[in-house]
This record gives sequence, structure tokens and C-alpha cells, in this order.
Amino acid sequence: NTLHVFAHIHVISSSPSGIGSSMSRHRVVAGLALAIVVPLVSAYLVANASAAALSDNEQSLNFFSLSGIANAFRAFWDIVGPGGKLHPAYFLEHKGHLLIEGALILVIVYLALQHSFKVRRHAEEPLTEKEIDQLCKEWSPEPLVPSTAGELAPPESHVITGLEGPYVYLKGRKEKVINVASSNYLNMANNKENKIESIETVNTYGVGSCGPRGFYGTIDKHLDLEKELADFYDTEAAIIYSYDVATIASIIPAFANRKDIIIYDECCSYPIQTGCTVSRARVALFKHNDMDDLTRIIENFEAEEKAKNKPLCRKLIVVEGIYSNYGDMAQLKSIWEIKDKYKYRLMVDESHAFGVLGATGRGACEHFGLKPGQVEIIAASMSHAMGSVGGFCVGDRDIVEHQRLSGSGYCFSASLPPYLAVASSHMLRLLRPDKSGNSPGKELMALLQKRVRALRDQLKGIPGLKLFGGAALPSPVLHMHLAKSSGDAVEDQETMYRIADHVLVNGGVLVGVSQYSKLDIRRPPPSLVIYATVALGEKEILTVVGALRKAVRDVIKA
Amino acid sequence: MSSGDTIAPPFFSILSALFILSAASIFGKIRDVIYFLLHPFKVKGETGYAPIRDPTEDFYMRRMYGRIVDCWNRPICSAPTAWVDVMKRERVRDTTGVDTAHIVPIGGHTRCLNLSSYNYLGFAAFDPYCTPRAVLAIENLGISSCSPRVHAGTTSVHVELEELVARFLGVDDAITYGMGFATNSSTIPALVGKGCLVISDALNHSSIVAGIRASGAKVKVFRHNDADHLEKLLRLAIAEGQPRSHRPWKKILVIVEGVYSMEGETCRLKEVVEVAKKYKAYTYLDEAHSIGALGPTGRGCCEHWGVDPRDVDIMMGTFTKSFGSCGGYIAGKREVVEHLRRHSPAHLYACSMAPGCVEQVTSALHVMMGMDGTDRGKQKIDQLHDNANYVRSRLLAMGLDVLGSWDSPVMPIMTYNAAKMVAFSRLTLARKLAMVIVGFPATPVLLTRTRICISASHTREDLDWAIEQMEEVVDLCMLRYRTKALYQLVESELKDHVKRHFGPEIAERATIKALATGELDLRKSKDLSTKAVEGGVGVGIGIGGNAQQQQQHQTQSTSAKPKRAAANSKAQLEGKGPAASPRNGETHRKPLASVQAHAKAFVVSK
Repeated sequence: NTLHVFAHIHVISSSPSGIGSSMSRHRVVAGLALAIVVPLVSAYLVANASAAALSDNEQSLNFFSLSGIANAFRAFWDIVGPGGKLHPAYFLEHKGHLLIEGALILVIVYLALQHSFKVRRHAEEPLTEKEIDQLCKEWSPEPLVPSTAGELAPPESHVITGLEGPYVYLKGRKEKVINVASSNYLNMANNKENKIESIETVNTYGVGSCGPRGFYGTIDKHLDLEKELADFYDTEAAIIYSYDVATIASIIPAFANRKDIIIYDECCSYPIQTGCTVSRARVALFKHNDMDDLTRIIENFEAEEKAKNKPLCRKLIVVEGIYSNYGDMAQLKSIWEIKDKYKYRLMVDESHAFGVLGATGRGACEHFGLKPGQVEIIAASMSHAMGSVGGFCVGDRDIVEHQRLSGSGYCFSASLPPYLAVASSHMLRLLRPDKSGNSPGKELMALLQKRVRALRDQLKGIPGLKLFGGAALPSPVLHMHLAKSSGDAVEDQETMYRIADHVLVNGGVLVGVSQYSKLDIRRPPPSLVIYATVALGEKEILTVVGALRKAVRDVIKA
Repeated sequence: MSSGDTIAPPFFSILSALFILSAASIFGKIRDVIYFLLHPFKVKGETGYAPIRDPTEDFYMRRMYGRIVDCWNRPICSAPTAWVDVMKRERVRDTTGVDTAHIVPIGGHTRCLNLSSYNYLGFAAFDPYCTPRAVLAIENLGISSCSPRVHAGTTSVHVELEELVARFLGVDDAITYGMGFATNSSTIPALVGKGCLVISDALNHSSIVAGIRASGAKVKVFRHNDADHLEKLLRLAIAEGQPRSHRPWKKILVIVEGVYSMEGETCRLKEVVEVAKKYKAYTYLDEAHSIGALGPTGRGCCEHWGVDPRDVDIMMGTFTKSFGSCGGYIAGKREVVEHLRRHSPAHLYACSMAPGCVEQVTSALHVMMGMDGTDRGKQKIDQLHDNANYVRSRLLAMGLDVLGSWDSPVMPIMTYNAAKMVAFSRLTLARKLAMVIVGFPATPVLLTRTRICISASHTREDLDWAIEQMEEVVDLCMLRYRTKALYQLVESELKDHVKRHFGPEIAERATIKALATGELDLRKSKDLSTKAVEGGVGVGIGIGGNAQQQQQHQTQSTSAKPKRAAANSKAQLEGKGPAASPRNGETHRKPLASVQAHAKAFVVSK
């Protein structure tokens, strides 16, 4: 008997370790509960029964009101208790142990036949301190920045020392040169009254605001500018940011997170790309200005959402009014129709179009006949037509107020220096139409369009270069690519640097050469960047075109 | 151990804070239900678009933030200098079931003592040296260059500033950007990417977080200011390599801040740099709040701790705070800066820093480096440290839980309770103190605080007056928590600090009480002035007065104090407001007539 009791205990004690991991928690809890409840109940019944046995009359049993149960239990106990036929001892004494031993043998055989190999959870010993020391010693990191050897070195930036109309003075050069590398479209940055107003503001308010908007960095000039922007765009509200690249890159993450969808044009510039990355939303790119591709991507998303039966998420299409890396325009009319059909929100970066396109200068949306409010989020940089620094966003109160708590570049950055806000306000005042619908800004915009047409007309004919977008575009951003690429982007880039240098040295014209960071997901082909501005006269345009023509001839032939 | 580790909100304030929050949210829910019953048609129906905010966020914004919206975004209508004009506002629309509260200026303003702007060195307002130069830059180079640095955005002032910043910091080269936030968020992706690891302090600024996210690098967070934990993480990271693939990391970047803006603590740079060097990790030091504010000559955290700036791989800082402008810089070895000039998006795509802002920084740096021919810069930084340490010791002596390090101009006062925080903000504003409060989600729910930023343009009178005002508010809000562990830690830090900067003899006498009562004057070996140095006038007795003079001065200042306090309380009893307030004497600076006048003045002074 001692043998099989021993075996029994052994099996019981080994079973939890064998199946412990597979046993679910609630079964353990149920087992524990039974283990507590069953002995308690039986102890109570035994106590009753023994009490009943001690008292020989029925009345004391009535006291418990359980006499029936007690009697039944007493009869039951006669069978189950020591000496009863169902007592384990009776069973064992009558060869019952053979049955148990047989069962145990079966279990042992079963276990013996199982695979004994088990993957240990910690197959490897953890690293000792000594080994970690060794690993740390062995590890050699890459240099903080990759070596620049072998990389095409961009030329030193030209240092501007003074301004004179469309001309700038450069360090190391006596004569002034024509500047077509600044997107100062309406010449606001050099506007005399604007300067005086800014200087007055600097004298009163100092230069910086010394704090974020939330913490006493909101200056009345900011509120004025926001109100003027909202009025100008005829929207409920406006919000200003203190830097152009941080504007869109902060707005996008405010309106999308992991659950949401963003679709943007593959030619969008870096701030939009980084905004999408930071938001961690599901991102898709559609082919440049390809409405069929956009529709296809949207339908894919719709089908996926439907198949997975997901709740409605925020969906956003992002485009640029004028693509800063190409100079062409988004087809906003058709994009709006698609957006409206599929209930996506539309966000337009109007940086280069604001103050340039549209009857009142509201940008590409107005140019394509979209009314205020039809596009949910309009954002733009203030460093182009406004001649200032910073960025803004206009939209519904909901859209704007949400950014005031969620736009990281708004909440966590010092606010715009007040004098830059004043300079922006100044430009808006020029654009504001009077009763007859005219404004000084309108004349400036008409003049700008004239310059754009003149430049585009004359630049498209330069042999060896190709003007992106053609002559008919009203966009003041002109990207000139090589007509015949050598097939090697680095070589093309070098050619562009040489052309730009030639144009400056021999023609006296400062043009920009596009440069892209390795962080950009897509590097557009090398190009010369020329901005049309109102400051350029017809004489200057002729000089620019002549210089370019000559430079291309000399450089490409040579 | 950092001072933040020593504090623990008392049990009762945890209870009351949670009670307040749950009460606010329950009442908010009830109000929403009532609103829905009363206006069943106003609640926005199905539009096919997902809502801009998710319901929880929307509820928080309307019913919680909506109640206390007046405590933030207070507009001002003056330069953010020692005293500011805070505009009066009024609620024009209350929170409803669908709409947020709206609050607008109603005209008129109150002149308040500015304890919130990051105007550490007092360059925020008109400065006789800096402003005329900034004005000239606007005249000559325009309001903006309207062009990124690589096209036509590089002007002579940009080049000058970059050279000057590198010289000021003692490193090879520097690059500047037009915004501090963008400096971080666009530089970090240019330095690290996939396969790299960033080990970041737990309390790093949001711009660093944005930069890391944009970079695609993996990130691990070490306990705030804990170099041991940093070492542990570094060892583990190097030993285990990248997650899942177990390849070795390409590089590891440790990012810390010089002064943490919500804690007021200086980074333990020496330990951090040591650990990082030992494990071949690169260090990135964000000096947004420390440049100009720490160190005997304002050169930041490195100078404060005596770390060679060349041991820090990337020095980042902003011009928004101490230099009263905007923008930021990255300084370091030549090849690092050269790489950034080729690949940093903010250099290639963003409009360059406005010339006026650039010139403001350059001239502020001139002042700090003594290149303007005066010792105004030195006085400014001494004044700042003196002001900061004085206010810190006074607040601690009052029994408040004040976090942060000595010399740091940022000092958060713990309130532990959102309701107390709001009450504090409103009561102090009513007493003409402009102060900042910070609550959830910027801090944990129970660690709400109010924050003071000290400036060199505050005079001792300003600060005494402010503390007097606060004294009442503190009692009303019951903020004297007197956390012993914090007090002891800060006192031992004071002894350390004094020992390092002033010698062991003075360190023996250095206690918070002594500093608060004026028995210990840390400036006395340098400068006896108690006046502010703003404007470069009235600087006091000068450098190295004799001992007798010092003695006299001290007794004067200590004996003068109770008298002034008595006068103030008497005036207050009579309902006149504080008699000693310089508010009455301060006149609003008028803009000078013309630019030419400035230009002339500066040419003559030169």
C-alpha cells in the first residue's frame, strides 16, 4: 500500500509541472475554489452528523432544521465511512489496488512513448558582464556622418551683401547681379513701406517673442495677422507657424495617426513627406497629377477598409498648388471631385501659389474655381509672395483650433517674431480689394503674370534646356532641365552647377540650382530654378535669357 | 539623483486631484447629455467624414480644457521684457456639446511682471546695441531673403553669425536655421536613420521626438538625468544589436538637453559624455535653454560643468531664448556641419533665417563676448545667476517644492493638483504676475506645476515684490508642501555648486536660508549691483569693491528689506497696491523716431 500511495503522490506532484503551462488560469482558480469549498461543506456535514449521533433524540436535530439531510448523511456515511463498502480501504483490500497500479503503468508507458525533447526557454545562458564588456569593446560604430569623398561637392553659396531692386551685390564681386533665385514674387521683402513698418515694430517689440504661443508668446500682432488671414480667405479661422518647413510637417501629424490614411502626390516636397512619416499613418503615393492612379489607390483603400470592416478613419489627400520641385500645378478641380466623391479631406500646400494665382490672390484653389470652404485645409509658406518668414493654415474653426493643441510646431516652438507678422499683414492689406474690387496687390499680380509669360515664352526656346511645364503655365516657379540627359544624375548636376556659374560670371545673373537631400524619397532631375518676380524689368529678362543661352552653348558644347 | 525623483505628492493631494478630475469629467458628461436632450438637431450628424478629433480628445478639449482655457495663450501687447502688457480677455462663447470655448481680447491691458518669457539675458526688448544693428540689417538686406540658403538665402550676416557661434562655443563650425524646433526635427534625420539607435532622455523636448520619428531610427529612453541607466542601456544595446536581426547597430546617438524646460534641471553632462565616450556613442546636446544662461560667461552647459565642447559631437541650441531672436544652430566638427550643409532639409528647402533676426543674435553675441567694448554681457549673466539663485532660495525657504538646479533660470513650483494650478494662475494674474502653468498632457496628471523663468532684466525689487505677491497666493492655494528629501537634496546641490564656483570656504556657509535672507551674497566678490543691467546703465559700484563697502552694502540691503515689506503690507491694507512696485515708475519704451537716428547712434557709439 505504501508503494502505490507513494506512486500516486508522485504522479500528482508531477502533473502540475507537466501541464502547468497549458492549464489555463481559470481552471486553476476553479480547482482552488473546489479545494476550499468541498472540505468546508463536508466538514459542516460531518459536524452535523456527529452532533446528531451524540444527541439521541430527534428534537435536537430539529434545532438545525436539517434532520432529513442528517439522517440521509448518516446512512450515506455507513456506506462511505470506514468499514463501509465504498470506503477506499475496502476497495483496496479487495484487490482494487491492482486496478490503480494498472492505470499507473499505462500512464508511465504513455509518457515513456512521448518525445522527451523539449526546447528550453532559455536555450542560451545570458551574457556575462565580461562578455558584454568584450562585445562593447569589439563594436565599432560608423562615423557620425558619411565621408564626403567621392560625392559631388556643391559650390559654395554666394554671399549677398546688399540689395538694389532686382539686383543683389555679392561678396567678391564689384558689379551687381540680377537675382532670379529668390521667390520674392511681389517684391514685398524689399518694399519700402513694409520695411519701415517692420522696423517700427522691432523698435517697440524687439526682435524675438521669447516664448511659445501658449506661454505669453502670443503678441497682438499675431492675433491681427490671424484675423486678417481668415478674413482674406473668407474662412472661420487661421493659424500661423513660425517656419515654412515646419508648417505642413506639423499640420499633417495633427490630422492623422496610425489608423488613418494619407494619399499624396509623388512629387510633393520634403515637408509633406516628413509630415506623413511623423504621423505614422498608412501612406500611399499617386503618380504625379494622374487622376486615374489616385482613384485606383482610393478604391483599393476603400475595398480594404470594407473587407476588414474597419471603423471610419480620417482620410487625407495632400497636394501642392504649385509643386515647388517642378513648377507645375495640381489639377485641383478633378482632385476636388474625387475627394468629394470618396469623402476624403483635401489639403493643399499653396506656398508658391498664394499671392500669385487666383483673381484675389488666394492661390491655386481660387484659380481652379474652388470656393472658400471647399478645400478643408489650406496651408502656405509666408516666405514667398508675402516676403516674410513663417507659414500659415486657414480653415474651419475645428481644423484650426485642433492644431492649437495638436500642431507640434505650433505648441512647442517659439512664436513668429512680431515684425515678421507685421510684414505679412502688410502684404495682406495690399491684396485686400476696395469697393470697386481693385487693390494695389491686384496690379502687382497682373504685372507678375506678365513677367511669368515673358520669361516662360523666352526660356522655352533655349536650345539644350527644357522648360518644365511649357510656356502656358501661370506658375512663377521655372524649372529648366537638360534637354538631353547624360543618363548620370551626378554628371547632370555638375553640368547644372557649371551653367549656373557661367551665367553668374559672364552674364551677371544669379540663378539657383536645385539641390536635394538624401532624405528626399525622390530626387527630381537636376534643374536650374528661376523665379519670376515683379522686380524684373523687360531689360533684365532679356539679360537673363541671353546669359542662359550663352552659358548653355558654352558649357554643353565644351 | 535628480530633484524630480525626490518628490512625491502627498496622499491627500493625490486624492483631491483625482476627485477634482473625476468631478469635472462626470459633470462634463452630464452636461453633454443635457445638451444633447435640449438640442437634438445641433449635434453633428453623419457627414461621411471621420471627426477631426476622436471622442475622448474632443471631450477633454471641450469639457476639461474648455474650463481653464483662460490660463494659456494670454496675448501680450508689448515686448516680452521684465514687465509685459497682458491683454484683457473675455469668454465670448462657452463650451457646448459640440463647440469649444472661445475667448477673445476685449481691449485694454494690465502691466504684469513677466515671470514666463525665456528672455534670460534681457535681449528681448529694445537694446541700445542690438536693435539699431538689427534695424540696419533689415534696411540693407530686406525683411526676408525669400530663398533657401543654397540659392540666394546666404547673406553676409549669416556667414558672420555662423563664424561667431562656432567661436563662441569653441568648436570648428556652425550652421544656422530659422527655427529652433526645425533645427532638431530636420537635423536628427540627417544624422541617423534605419539601423541606428537613439538613446534619448525621458524628458527630452517634443522637437527631438519629432526628429527621431522622422529619421526612422530606433529609440530607447533612459531615466531622466540618470547616467547609470544610460550606461546599462548602452551596454545592453551594443551586446544585443538590432532587434530581431541582431546585427550590430550602425551608430548610437545619445540625446540630452542642457536645461530641461519643464524641470529646470541642468543635464549631468560630465557623466553622460563620459559614458557615451566609453561606449563609442555620439552625443547630441540640445542647449535650447542653457546657451547664454549657464556658465560664468554664458557659454552653456559645457562651461557650467567644465566639459570640453569638442567632446560633445553635436551642439544644438536656439536663439529664441537668451538672444531674444528666433532660429537655432548646430555646431560641431567641420565634417558634421559640412554634411548638414549638403543634406539637412531645413538648409536646402527652408527659407533662410530673416536678416534682422540674424543680426540681433550676432550683436547679442557681441555683447556676451565683450566685443561691444563694455562688460555689459558679463554683468547680464551675473545678474541672471544672482536673480535665479535668489528667487530659488526664497521660494524653497517659503516651503514650496521647487525643482531644478542652481544657476538655472527655470524653476517649476509643484502644485500636484490641477485645480490648485489653475487657481494659482488666476490669482497670480490678478496680482499682476504673468506666470505659466503646465498640466496634463505635458506632465503626468499628478505632477502639475507652475513655472517661473527668471531674466537678467528683473531687478531685485521686482523679484522681492513678486515673492511677496506669491506668498499670499501660496497660502490661499496651500502649496507649502515642504518635501524634506527635496529640500535636503537641493541644499547639498547648493553646497556642491558653491564649492565648484566659489571655493570651499564659502561652501561651508552656503545654505538655502542664508541665500534667501541675503546673508550669503554670491555676487559680492564680483559685483555689488542689485540693479538690473538692462539698457547698460546704472550698473552699480563695479567690479571688486573693497570689503568694507561690501559689508555696508549688505547691511543696507538686509535692513532695507523688512522696512519695504512693512511699507508694502501697509499699502496693501489701505488698498493701494504695493508701494514698492516699480510698475508705477516704469514707462513704456517709445519707438525712436527713425531708423537713421539708430544708425547714427550706433555709429557714434562705436
